Amino acid sequence: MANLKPVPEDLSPDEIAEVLLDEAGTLDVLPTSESNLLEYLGLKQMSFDFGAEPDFIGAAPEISSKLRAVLSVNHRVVATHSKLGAKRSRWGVFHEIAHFILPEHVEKLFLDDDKTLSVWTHNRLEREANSLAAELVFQGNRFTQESADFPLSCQTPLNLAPKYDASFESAVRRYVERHDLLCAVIVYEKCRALADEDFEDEKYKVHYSVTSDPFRRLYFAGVQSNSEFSRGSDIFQVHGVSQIGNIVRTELQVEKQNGGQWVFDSELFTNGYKVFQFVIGPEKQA
Amino acid sequence: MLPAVRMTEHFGKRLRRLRGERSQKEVAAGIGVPTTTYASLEQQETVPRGPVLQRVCDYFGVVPDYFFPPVKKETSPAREWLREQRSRSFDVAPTIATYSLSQASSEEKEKLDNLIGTRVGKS
Repeated sequence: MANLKPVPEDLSPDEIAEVLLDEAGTLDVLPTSESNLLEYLGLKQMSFDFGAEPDFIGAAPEISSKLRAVLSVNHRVVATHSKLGAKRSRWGVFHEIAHFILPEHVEKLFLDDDKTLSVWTHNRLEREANSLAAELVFQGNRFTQESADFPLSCQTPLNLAPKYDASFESAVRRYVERHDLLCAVIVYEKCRALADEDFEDEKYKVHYSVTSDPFRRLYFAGVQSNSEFSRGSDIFQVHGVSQIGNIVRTELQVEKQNGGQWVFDSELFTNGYKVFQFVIGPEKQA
Repeated sequence: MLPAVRMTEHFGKRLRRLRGERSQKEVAAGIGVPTTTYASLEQQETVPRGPVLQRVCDYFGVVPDYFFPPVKKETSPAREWLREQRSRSFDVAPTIATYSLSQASSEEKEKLDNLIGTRVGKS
């Protein structure tokens, strides 16, 4: 007699997230309660300094410094690195919860070793887990709906992020990804300065960029630098962006593939680690 | 179906935000409706349909969905799935997911499972 049944294919991550929030009693209660979700699913949370566990670091030195969170399905434990900041730890918990509840994930992870699970499948599972984690943090469409009632500006996710106990970076990504209007965000990373470099003018490179659907349809899906590094003064053309909490307005020029350029209004903001350039469409007329 | 009050409230708020600094008169002219009609939309008294809705969308460059809150989907299959997953027993071989900057090997996962198992045993 068959003891197998099909994994439901038509369940979308946003439906699963909404039901989990509801069943755990944290739907429409902000910020989303990690403990409610863990308790509902019968999962325990533990904290480890993976880099200081003598048995583990000796046996797995490579991974011990890179781990952020772990799900042990058979022990029903979500373990986070004790040295992570509160928001990263929170994200790690939601990410592991996602693996636990998404169809096929547990089965695929059971098979997960270097030989049986392709890197493509591994990456897909990680993307899906991140996507569902975002659904839990931002309570499905609630953040998007709420933010649409405020002006199109990076000030909006900046103001709303604490309410959802989210980092500014995750909030601005979500804000742009789901926005119905023309907007994008380009995230720059500071590059490590060389000994003989000019410390006054820091160097940056584009880390990644995100665009809203309407923006992508009209202009471009992402940007990249022409050179490996760019000077802050060349990119931003303004002073004062390095002050945390300070939004600086400037223009952004992007080369078109077949000549000419787009010019957009933009807002610059830094969280101390990265610089975010929030791009506001439509393009400015020459 | 959403309550009519919520629909008109949502629509009015969105419309007001899109208008920005422009006057109601200017936007009403652009859409092709009397200013009083336009004002009633912003004041959350009514929601346009058909060609008027389309003209509003065309004028602001948005899709109709922008003005309407999402309708809650039927979630029974998802609820059933979640409840099954919650009560499921996982007396299986070690199954580990890692969230890390690089992919863990099967040996590293086994060590992690042992580490967690030891802590669970102690608690």
